[in-house]
Amino acid sequence: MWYKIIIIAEWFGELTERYKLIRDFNRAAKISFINGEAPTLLQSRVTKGESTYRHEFSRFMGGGFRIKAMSGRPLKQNELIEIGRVVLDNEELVRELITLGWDTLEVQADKGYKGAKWKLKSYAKLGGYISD
Amino acid sequence: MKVNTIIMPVIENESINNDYVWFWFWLCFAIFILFIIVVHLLLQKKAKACLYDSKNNKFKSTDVQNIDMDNLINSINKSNILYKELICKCHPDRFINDTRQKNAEDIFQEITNNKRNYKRLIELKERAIRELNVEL
Repeated sequence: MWYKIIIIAEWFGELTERYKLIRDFNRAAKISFINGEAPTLLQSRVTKGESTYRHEFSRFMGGGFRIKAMSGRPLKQNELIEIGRVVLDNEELVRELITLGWDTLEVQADKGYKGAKWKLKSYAKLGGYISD
Repeated sequence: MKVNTIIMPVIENESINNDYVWFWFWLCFAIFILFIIVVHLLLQKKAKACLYDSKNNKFKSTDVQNIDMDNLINSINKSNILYKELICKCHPDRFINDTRQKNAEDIFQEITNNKRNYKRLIELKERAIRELNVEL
């Protein structure tokens, strides 16, 4: 019984960490935008994700980490890819995302219909338990 | 007859009183169990948050989030421009037959490896100004 209670407590703890990461990202993006350092306001949120990108730690109906650029115009493909590559090059962040249950990185603008998504497992440089 | 009518209401009142007693008993018991669970979880969370560090013979906390979000946002917005500026000014071909060529190669290699890390690019920029005497 105690073990099940601990599992429930850990689940809530992970949920807190997920939303803390989202909150920290949004806060840093907001401050950067207000200071004039960033041309666009970036916003992150949790989405359903891509079902084919799921891994063993994926959270049900919450595997997508979406970065939305409030640019007011459709972003070009290379701009979307550049934003995604910055996140994927940060190996520590990718591993943090995977351990917290995310499996898909999505980038899109608030205008237009283009977007980009990546499978996080492919960029975590995992060498053992989780492999394709 | 009269005895029956007198006894019956008394028995009904007693059953109602017994129900109230049991209700309050179970309510207090549930509150007590809840209190025990909360105390146990608080103590458990404190112990579980630590990993053992054998080097220093102490436990480390796992609650520390080492992700630098400011650097991430700056990297998204500014790293591309800084990277292009640095690879142009610090390319080893600009220092051929110069004593700074080896330094330029090292710095250029570092710049290429940290293309999207704004904080590291800033450090390399300062190193380039110091060692290569370039204007950036």
